[in-house]
Amino acid sequence: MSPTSATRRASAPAAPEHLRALARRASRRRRGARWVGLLWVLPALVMYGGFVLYPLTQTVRYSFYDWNGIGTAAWVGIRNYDTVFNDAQLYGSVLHAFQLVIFFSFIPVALGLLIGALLRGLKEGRFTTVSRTVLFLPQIIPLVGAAIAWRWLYAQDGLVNGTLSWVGLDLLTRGWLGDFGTALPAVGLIGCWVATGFCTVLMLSGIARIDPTLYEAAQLDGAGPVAEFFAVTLPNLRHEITVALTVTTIAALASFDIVYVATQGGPGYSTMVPGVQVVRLAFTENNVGLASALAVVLLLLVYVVALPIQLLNRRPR
Amino acid sequence: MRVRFSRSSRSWWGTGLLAAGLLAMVSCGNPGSETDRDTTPSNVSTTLGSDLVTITMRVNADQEALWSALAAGFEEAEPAVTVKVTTEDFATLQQNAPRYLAAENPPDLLRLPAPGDAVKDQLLLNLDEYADVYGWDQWPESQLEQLRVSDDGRQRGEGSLYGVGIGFQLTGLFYNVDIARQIGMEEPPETIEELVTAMEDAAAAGKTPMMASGNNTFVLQALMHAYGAAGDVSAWVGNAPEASIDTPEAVAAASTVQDWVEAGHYPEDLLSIDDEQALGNWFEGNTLFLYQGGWLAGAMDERMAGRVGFVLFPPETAGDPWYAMSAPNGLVIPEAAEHPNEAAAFLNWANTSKEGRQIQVDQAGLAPGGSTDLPVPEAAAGSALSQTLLAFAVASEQDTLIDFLANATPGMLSATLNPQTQLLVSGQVTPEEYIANLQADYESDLGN
Repeated sequence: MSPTSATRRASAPAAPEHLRALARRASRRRRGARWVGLLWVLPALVMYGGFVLYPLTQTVRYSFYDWNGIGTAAWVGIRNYDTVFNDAQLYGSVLHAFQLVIFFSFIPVALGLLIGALLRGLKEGRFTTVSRTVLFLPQIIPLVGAAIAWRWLYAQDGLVNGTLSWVGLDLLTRGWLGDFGTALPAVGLIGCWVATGFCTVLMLSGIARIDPTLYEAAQLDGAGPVAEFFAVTLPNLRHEITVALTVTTIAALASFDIVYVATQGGPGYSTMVPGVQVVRLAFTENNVGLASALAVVLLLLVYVVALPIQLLNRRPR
Repeated sequence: MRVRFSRSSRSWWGTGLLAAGLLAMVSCGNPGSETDRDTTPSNVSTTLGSDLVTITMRVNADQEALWSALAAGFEEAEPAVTVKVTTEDFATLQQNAPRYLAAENPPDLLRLPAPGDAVKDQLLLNLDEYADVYGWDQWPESQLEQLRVSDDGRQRGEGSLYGVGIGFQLTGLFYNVDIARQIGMEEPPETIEELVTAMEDAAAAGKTPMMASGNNTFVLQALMHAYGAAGDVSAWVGNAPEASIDTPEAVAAASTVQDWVEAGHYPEDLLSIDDEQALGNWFEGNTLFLYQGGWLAGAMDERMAGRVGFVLFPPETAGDPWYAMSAPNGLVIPEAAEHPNEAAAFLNWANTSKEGRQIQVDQAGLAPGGSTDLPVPEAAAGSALSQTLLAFAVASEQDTLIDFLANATPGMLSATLNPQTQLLVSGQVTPEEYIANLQADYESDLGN
């Protein structure tokens, strides 16, 4: 507050009246500001409306029709939803997505926490920089490229089998993506590899924010690295963990690229996920209605799963 | 009285309004077009004007050499016409085809193997008048029927003509001549029993008897034909009313495939092999048989010249017909195409001119269609290519060309055959379940 306004206020007996005028003007300005604000977000809002909200309404709309995408559509009510919940292939793909959550989300978050805590203990130097870079690298590689590279690794004569044979584990070699038992975990591992870097970098930035005196205090109380992790690091990373869980869980449930490139949903239906199924239904089978219904169910599912994770963030620290 | 909204109730109002708006959008009218289009061409003519015209064609990338050579050849034959070729991965092209056809500016020619839905939506030009003026209706019917569609788009094999094939794909049994000699296989097998014997001999000699990918249905379909289900399969692929492949013959074919997998006639890691890898394995030269398309003959002659034989899949008993899967390399003219006359002239030139027919053989290893009076183009004697041309001539004459199972419905290949066949060869479904699943998916696809 400037000295002039302070003196003016002190010297003016009609302060309440004067203040009320000021407040009125401010409130008018605030109301104006609100409209100006709307103007600022308008371009983004138009894009969001045109490319997200409008298509969303159309997806919901299509889901009530039997339509091949071009010709005339026939209203079928909730029949498409009925199919989604009763067709073993369709709800099976949703179950696969949930299994992928373990690989895309739980394991990377756990690994991120672990690696973050380990790197914190090391002195900042070339090793930590290189580790951070190497771990983050998968994030900047297009998923399609990553999936192709992993397909080579997993192939019958790929690096994975080569390594296994080399150490004498010939019995374990197989076409990892072609085996009914290993295809889904193998796909999950690709996602795990991609997400771990993201989680680690997130955790590292969170750890850097933690007040070092907390660690000092813990050490003075005789805490070892493990106790330090659970008493200081973990509770202070609640925000980061929430963000990491949310982002990676959504990536798992809505996964498309990795599965599409690595297995196309095969062998059999063992790695089919809703993302791939939606594309196949809409563009290969020209069954836009059923594809839309599955997409809507997937959308709701992501909400139902992602919202409770936000509660982690709510609790007072 | 003034109504005042608290901040929170106002946001509830906003949400409610948004939801109401969404609902309003959801409930307004059917999506899709209902306009009635006239699919018969106007101003049909076989003489092209002297005005410079550019026609566009959108075709599959794996045969780019064929399409560009044909385009160049046609430009030479018709100097006023320029042909612009755009290629796209085959699967992607099939996915995008309905949207290209419905676009305001569709290409003049589009590669489309199964025109059913597009006919129903009135997106394709009816080619009956062109067939009349060019004399295509004099060609063997087996070349045209796969591109005939009933007006409601529900059944193929009858009705008006909606496309013309440029070259015909044909499946057959490639065999490695060196290994055949090594195991004492003097002649290619003439019955399934001889085929099995040869495979057993190959296995005993430490060779892979039969190469395939884990989801390939060619052998299965060949066995269906050999066991007497050819007519059923043909009706099924053509979507004839009540068509079914849930028959004892088809189950027996699926059962034989499973037996062969168990007997070790296929590679051990069959499930993890895709078509590309199967071909790669074949070229390593340790495999006796590969049941694949004659379109690979060019590659065979390039990489294993003189060491590859090609023969149709044998019947169960000697003397029965030898069947093959075959489909025309079908091109259609969109209803809204700008230059239908030029496009039709291109189709005619490719099938009837000496140059066009030779290009089909040289560039794609495809047997050219057209009238049987036309001379068959030449290929080097003894080459795999010349053997596939011979096989096509034999099968055409016997009328034993059957369309691929995969062409039954748009989703048949990727949504049903690929995953189900993997389940079959890995023994996770019984032959009975497998065939029943195929039939069930087929019926649900057609119901949509």
